[in-house]
Amino acid sequence: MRKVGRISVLVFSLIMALALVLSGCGGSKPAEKKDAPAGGGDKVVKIGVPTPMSAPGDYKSGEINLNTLKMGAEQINAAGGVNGSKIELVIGDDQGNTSKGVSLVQKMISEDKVCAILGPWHGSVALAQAKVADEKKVPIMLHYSWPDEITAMHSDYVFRTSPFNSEIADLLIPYLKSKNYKTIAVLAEDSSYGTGFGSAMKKAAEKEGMAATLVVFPSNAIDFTPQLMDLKRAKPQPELLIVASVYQPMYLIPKQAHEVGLSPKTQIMAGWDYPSWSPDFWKTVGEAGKGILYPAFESASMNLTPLGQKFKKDYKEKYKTDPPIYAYFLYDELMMVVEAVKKTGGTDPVKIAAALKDMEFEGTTGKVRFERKEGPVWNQWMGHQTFIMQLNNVGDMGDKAELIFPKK
Amino acid sequence: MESFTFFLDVLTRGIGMGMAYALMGLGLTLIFGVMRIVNFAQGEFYMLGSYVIFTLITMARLPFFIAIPLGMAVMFLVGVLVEKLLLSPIAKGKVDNPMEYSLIITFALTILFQKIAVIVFGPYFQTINSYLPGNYKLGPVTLSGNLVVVMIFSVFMIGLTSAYLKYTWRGRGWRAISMSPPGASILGVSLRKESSMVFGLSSALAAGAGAILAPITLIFPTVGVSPLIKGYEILAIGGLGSVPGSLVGGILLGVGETLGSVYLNSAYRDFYGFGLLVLFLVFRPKGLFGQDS
Repeated sequence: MRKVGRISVLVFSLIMALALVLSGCGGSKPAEKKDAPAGGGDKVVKIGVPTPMSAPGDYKSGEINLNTLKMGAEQINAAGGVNGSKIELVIGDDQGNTSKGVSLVQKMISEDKVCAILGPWHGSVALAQAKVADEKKVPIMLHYSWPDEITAMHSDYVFRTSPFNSEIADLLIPYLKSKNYKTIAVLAEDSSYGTGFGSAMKKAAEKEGMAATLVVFPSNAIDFTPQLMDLKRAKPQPELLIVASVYQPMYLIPKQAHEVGLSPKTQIMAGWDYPSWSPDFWKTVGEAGKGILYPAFESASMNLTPLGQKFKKDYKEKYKTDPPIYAYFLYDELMMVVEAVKKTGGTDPVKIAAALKDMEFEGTTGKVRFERKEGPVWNQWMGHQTFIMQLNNVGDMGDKAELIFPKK
Repeated sequence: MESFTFFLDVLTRGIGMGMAYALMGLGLTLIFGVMRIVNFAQGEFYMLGSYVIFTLITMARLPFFIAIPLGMAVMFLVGVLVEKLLLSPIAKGKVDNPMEYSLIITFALTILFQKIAVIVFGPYFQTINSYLPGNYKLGPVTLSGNLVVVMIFSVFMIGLTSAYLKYTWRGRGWRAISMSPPGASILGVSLRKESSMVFGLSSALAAGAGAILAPITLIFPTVGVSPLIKGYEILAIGGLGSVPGSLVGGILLGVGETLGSVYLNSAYRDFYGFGLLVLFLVFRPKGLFGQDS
């Protein structure tokens, strides 16, 4: 009988090992250790890049992050490097997992001795990584991680070029006012992004005298019809419903809102730009997605500086597709680190952070400089442009979206 | 009046969702009743079943009323295969502690099946078009076509399963095993032969639930997690091993969650099911229809 106990352990380990093997080939490439070769054996400027490269992380965006940084590093190295040293990217896959992300950053700082960290992605992972970088006094820059808390910790080593939750809520207000909306609702998942953005949005709308309802749901939920039926019953029925979520609720909510008859009377707005590029959106939502709005930080009418135009052209040439907005932000960050290395004449992370703090950099979409005020505005760039876009036909992607606000 | 109509709408919605949950509970209750083990992978049978039926509908272009039975048959075979390959030592009496053994094996299977789904179907979200588009009026209540299909299908499957258990030789045999395995084997019904059939049927029921809910809840590799938990909650509410218990438990859970989400706070939706579970464990640990052991 004891033998069978052992068999069950053996079968268990066999199945688990197989699962592990399979997860390794689940659509991602094995992690690359290093990118650019160490320049001729002499000094290099090492930059740590922890970013999602495999599921459950958002590996598609991770790949864009890597492409952007690789292209930037190649350009700089081809032009002779910085202070005669080559840029070397130390790349790691955080799989969208907080503990993996943290240990990656720890390793990059203590073993690889990177002088700066670029490319963190998922909000909760980035927040944890920022805490590590702050503790170890190495500058970390966030190009698309939205939680307010990241910059609200007021660290001298944490910089953010991307928008953040409460800023995005504020940026939406001019549009809501232009439509003269009186009643809005936000359906938000119970994550740092969902509740962070949801409560900021409610606060911002109420400040403008609108009635705002915030409904929070568990992020693994698959049936939203009770909440949606409740919104439909509300008097008055909300004119706009903003969906602040990632993964399945982004598709389920527009679909189920249509099913219970909440939309199209209530206009639906995605909390971010996923309908414009997600291959799953039209497949899963179909007719119900017609007319969905989304906020974007880019559009055809976006202002690009000469550097931005060059970046767009180079990126398109190399990767055969237009860069998304966060690639611009990330490229700016890399160039700012290079600038700081140049200025300080070395790779001391503390000095680099100090140089970044007061730098004014002519970036891809405008002048980038970090503001320090209160709350989340700490080493935070505030120069973002916001556009409200609409998808009018089933199957339309971002390139066919109509610019609703601001009108040209 | 209007708020009463709304209440009825929400209530019907809860009943409909509850009936689909009941299919999960029914599968688990069969496995528990006859084989006396727990199956953690039931949610993954739900997930795989919906993928199989999705494939039959979108790729093989079969109408849903053929694709669903066919997909359930495929998943029946998968269930039989899993039992034969991995769980048969339990029925043969070779395992010291069947409960632990089944926990470990089926837990490992959940991870394996999820990874397989990611590889074969990708980490994407898929859906099946509505089986019955549009809305329907039943007195003052408005029902979506999807919900009508869910209700009819669930009642049909639960009815069919109960009839099978009641009137066929094999079904009676299963009930005999659930009462007393040694007694049943004296009468010529052996768990060894029957357990793979039971496991297969339970897998097919989960697949049916997955397929029928797919137009409402999408299909993705981890979609089975929440139905699995609901299934076990139903087991505790309705009583382990009871067929009517799984139906009533499912409906209670569905209604509790839906009403709680609307009239209390939707952020705690999963808490309402949990609260119901705790109430039952404290005040009626054997569940509604459970027998004292």
